[in-house]
Amino acid sequence: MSSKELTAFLAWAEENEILWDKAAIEIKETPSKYGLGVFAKKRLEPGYEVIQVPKAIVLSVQTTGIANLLEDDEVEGDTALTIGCMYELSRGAQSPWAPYLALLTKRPPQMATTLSKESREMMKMCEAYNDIEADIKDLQEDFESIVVPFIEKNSDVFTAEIKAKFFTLEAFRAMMEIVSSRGMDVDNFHVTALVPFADFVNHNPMPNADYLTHEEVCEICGALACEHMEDGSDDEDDEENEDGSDDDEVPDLAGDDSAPAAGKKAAAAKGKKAEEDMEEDGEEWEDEDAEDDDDEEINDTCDIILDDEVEKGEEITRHYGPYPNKILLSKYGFAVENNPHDTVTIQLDMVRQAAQRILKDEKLIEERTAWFLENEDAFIGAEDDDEEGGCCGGGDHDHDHDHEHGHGHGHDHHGHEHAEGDDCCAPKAPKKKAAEAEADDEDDEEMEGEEEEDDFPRDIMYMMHDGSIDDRLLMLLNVLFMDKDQFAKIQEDMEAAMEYFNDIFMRREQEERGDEDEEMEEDEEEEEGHEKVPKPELGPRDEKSKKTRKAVLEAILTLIRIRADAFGVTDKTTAEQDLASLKKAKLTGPLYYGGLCVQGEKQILQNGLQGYDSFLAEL
Amino acid sequence: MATSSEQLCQGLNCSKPAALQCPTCLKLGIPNSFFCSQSCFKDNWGAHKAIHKIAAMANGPPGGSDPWPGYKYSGTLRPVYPLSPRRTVPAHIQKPDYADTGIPLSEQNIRSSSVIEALPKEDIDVLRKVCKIAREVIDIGVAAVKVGVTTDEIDRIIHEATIERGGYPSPLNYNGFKKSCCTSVNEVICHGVPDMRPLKDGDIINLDVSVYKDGFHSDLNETVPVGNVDANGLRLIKNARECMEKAIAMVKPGALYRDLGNVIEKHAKTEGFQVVKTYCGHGVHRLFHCAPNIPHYARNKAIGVMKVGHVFTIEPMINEGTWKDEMWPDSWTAVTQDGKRSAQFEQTMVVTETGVEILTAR
Repeated sequence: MSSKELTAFLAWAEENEILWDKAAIEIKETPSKYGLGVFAKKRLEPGYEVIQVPKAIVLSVQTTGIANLLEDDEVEGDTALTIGCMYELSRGAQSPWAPYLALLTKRPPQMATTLSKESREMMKMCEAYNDIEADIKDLQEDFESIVVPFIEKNSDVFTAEIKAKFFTLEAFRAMMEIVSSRGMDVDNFHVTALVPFADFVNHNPMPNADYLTHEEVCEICGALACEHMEDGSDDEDDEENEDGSDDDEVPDLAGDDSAPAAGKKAAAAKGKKAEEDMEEDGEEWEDEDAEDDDDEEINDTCDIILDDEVEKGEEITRHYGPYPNKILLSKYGFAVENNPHDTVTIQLDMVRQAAQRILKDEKLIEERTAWFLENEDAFIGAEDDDEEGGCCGGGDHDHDHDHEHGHGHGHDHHGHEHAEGDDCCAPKAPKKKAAEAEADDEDDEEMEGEEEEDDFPRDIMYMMHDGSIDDRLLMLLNVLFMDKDQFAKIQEDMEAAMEYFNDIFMRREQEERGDEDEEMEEDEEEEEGHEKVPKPELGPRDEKSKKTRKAVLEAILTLIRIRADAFGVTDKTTAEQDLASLKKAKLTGPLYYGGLCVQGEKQILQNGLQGYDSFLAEL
Repeated sequence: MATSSEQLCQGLNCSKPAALQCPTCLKLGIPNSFFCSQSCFKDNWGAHKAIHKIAAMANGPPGGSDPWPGYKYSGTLRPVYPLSPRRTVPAHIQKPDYADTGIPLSEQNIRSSSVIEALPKEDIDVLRKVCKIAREVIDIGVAAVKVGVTTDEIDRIIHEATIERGGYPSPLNYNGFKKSCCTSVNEVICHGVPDMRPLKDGDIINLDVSVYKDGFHSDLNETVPVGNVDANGLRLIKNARECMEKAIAMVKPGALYRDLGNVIEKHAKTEGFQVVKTYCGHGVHRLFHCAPNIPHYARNKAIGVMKVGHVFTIEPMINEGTWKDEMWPDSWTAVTQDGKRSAQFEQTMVVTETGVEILTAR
C-alpha cells in the first residue's frame, strides 16, 4: 500500500540522508493492520544495517524551531517534545519535517486514550484502566498548566489563528500519543526524539533487530567532540592545554592509507573516557574506528541493525523494552499475547489484609511491616547501588517515560532476579556504539517513580508472568510470618537478617525452580564432565522454617484471591478460555489490546494459584 | 637530511624504521616527524608536542613564498609569507578572555546551545556604540583598499584605527588567529589571513572587522572591488549585498532563524550563484560567536525564534561557482573548491519590537 504520503516521505528521507537499501527493505502495512512496519524484501544476514538515521534529522526539543523558547521557559520532557512537534506541524509545508509529519498524522496511532468512556469501562478489570484514566487526566492538566501558559507567553509566534487551528487540547492529545508511542531515546543531548524511518520498526518480544545510538555526546551542543566544558569534568585536561589545537589527546599518526582527523580521535577518546568501566571495550572500539574509517568522520546516526537472519517478507522488529502489557498499552497503544514481562501489582494494603486474615493481629502486622519498609534498603543494598548510582541526575536527563504523570507505573524491575530478563538491565554488547538507552531507562524509571520522593513507590509489589512473587513481597511475607524469636534476632543483627533472606532466596531457587535446574545440571555433567560450581547444600527445613513457609504460602494464596476480587477477576473461566473467546470476538485496536491486558493479568493470577498450591502440597 | 625512503623513528631511544608521520607536524609544515608506531608516538608525545608550539609561534617556515609545498590550490591566489610580526595592543585596552591564551573560555562555558540571550536595553546601548566604532574602522579600512596595497598593510591600518578608538580587534588571537581582521580576496570565502600580497587590479576583497570594547563584540564585513573589476564580479558583489539586505528585512519578533536562508538562497539563485553552507551568521555580544547559529542556505534546520533583544549577524557568502568550500593548510583560509570567486556582506543587528535595528549601519 503506497500512499502518496508514504512516497513523499521516502523521497524526503532520501534527501535528508537517511540510509537504507530500497532493494532490501520496505515500509508497508502490517498484516494485523496495526499500522506500518518495516519488512525485508530479501534474505538479510545478521549484522546488516537496516536503517541509519543521521541525528541531524531527528525531531527533538533541540531541533524544533522553537527550541530556544522551550529552553527559555524551561518546558521539559515529553510535553516539551510534544509542543515542539505541534509547532512543526503548524508550519505545514515549511517545516523541515513536513512529509514525515504528514505521514504520521494521516495514520494516527490508535491509543486507549481515544476510546470512548464506555469502551474504557470494559477495561476496569485490569490495572491498565487506572493508568489510562490517569493519563487522560494528566493530559488535561498538562495542557492547562504547561501548554496554554507557554503559548500565551509567546503570542507573537502562536497567533490567535494558529492557536485555534493547531494548539487545541485535541491537537495536544493527538501529538502526545504520537510522541508517547513513537519517541525513541537518542542521546544525552536530544534525549527523546522522533526518529523518522527507524520509528516504523515495530515491537516484538522476540525481535530480530536492535536499535543502537551513540549516547555520550556533548550535552551542550550534541557533538561527538567539541570544546564545551561539561561541569568541570574536562578541566583537568584543558589546564595543560595552552595551544588550542594540541590537546593532550595524542592524534593518530598519518600513514599511507588513513588521513586521520584529530576530531575523530578526540571523539574516540571522549567516548572512551565516558565509559570508564568498559575500558577494554573502549580500546577495541577506538581501534575499530581507526581501521574502518579511512577518511570519514564518525557518522553519528541512529541505527537499526539485524541481530538475526531474516527471510524475504519477514517483518523487522525490535524490543521496545521489557514492559508489562499495561505500559505497552498506555504508552504504545498495543499489548502482547503471553507477554513474558507482564506483571500484576500487589498493593501493600492487600498484603495487610491477607496477613490479618491469618494472623488476626493488627499491631504485629503494623510493627513488622514498618520495620521491613524502613530496613529493606539495607538488604537490597548491593543490587540497587548499580541502579541508584546511575546516571539520572534530575532535570536535564529526562527520559521518555511516564514520569511526569506521577502515578508510578508498575515496573517489574525492582528486586527481581534476572532469570528471564536477560535484556532488561544488562546493556547489549556494543558494536561501535552504546546500547540503546531504553534498557537503561528501566533502571532509571524506578528512580523517578513518585515525584515527592526520589524513590520507587514502596507500597507496590509484583507478581511475575509465571505467577511467582517478587523478592520484596517474599521478604515481607517472611518478616510477617516468622516467629517472635526469629524476628527479634534479625531486628538486632543486620548480618543475621541478611543471612536469613539469603537462605530464603536460595531455597526458592531450589524448591520453586529446583526441578529445572537439577535436570540442567545433570545434562551439563554428562556433556562436559567439568567441575561445576558446587551448590551450597541446604539442609532440609526444620519445623520452625516449615511453619513459616506454610504461613507464607497460605498468605500468598489468600493474597491472590484478594487481588482477584479487587478487580472482579473470577475463575468461572480459565485464562486460556478467555484468550480463545477474545480472539473469536475479532476485536481490533485498543479494545483488543485492552482485552489482552485483562486476560494477561488473569493468567498471572491463575499461574500463581496453581504454582503456590502445588508448593503448599509438597511441603 | 635523509632523503632515502627509510626514515627512522623520532622517538627517544628508538631507531626503528618509521613510515608514519605526526599529522600536526604535517599541517604545520614541519618535515621528518616520523614515528615507527602509534604507541611509540604516544610515549614520546609529551616531548614531541613542544615542537608544535615552537612552529606555531613562527610565521611559517622561513624564506618560502610557498609555505605548503605539494598543496593543490583550487584557484590562482597564493599566500605570501612570511606574515608580519604579531601586532601589539596597549595595556590600557580591555581585552577579551582569549587575548593571551587564544582560547575563548567563555564560549566554551555556555550552558546550552539552544539558549539565545535577549539583551536588556542598557546592554544594547553600549553595544550600539561599539558597533558604531566598528563601522568607522571598516570605513577607514575600505578607504585604504588600492591596487598595490598589501592586505597586511590594510590589517595594520585597521588594527591601529581600532586601538585609537579604545577597542581591541576581536580576531586577534581568537583561537590563535594571527591578525586583527580578515582579508578575503577573490576565491577566498572568509577568514583570509592578511599577508604580503599586494592587491591587483581586478581583485575583489572582503574586509571583515570586529571590535571589542566595554565588554561587547561587534562584527561586520564588506566586499569591495579593487581597481577595475569585470561585470560578473560586480554582479556577484551586488547580489551578495542584496542577499544580506533581503534577509535583514525579514527580521522581527516571532520570525524563525531558519527562514532567513530561504530568502538568501532564492535571491542568489536568480543570478546563478550558490550559497556557502559551512559558515553561518551568529549571535554576537559578550561572546564573539554564540547562539543563534544562522545558516544562509535554504531549508536549513536552524533552531530559534527571534525575540526582542536578540543580537546577531547575517553574513551570507555567495559564490560564482560551487558552494563547496575547502581550507588551506593554515587552518583558517576558506576557499571555494573550484577556485571561482566569493563575495560577502555582514551586519550586526538587534531584534526590536517593530522589527530590526542594524547596529553597524553606516
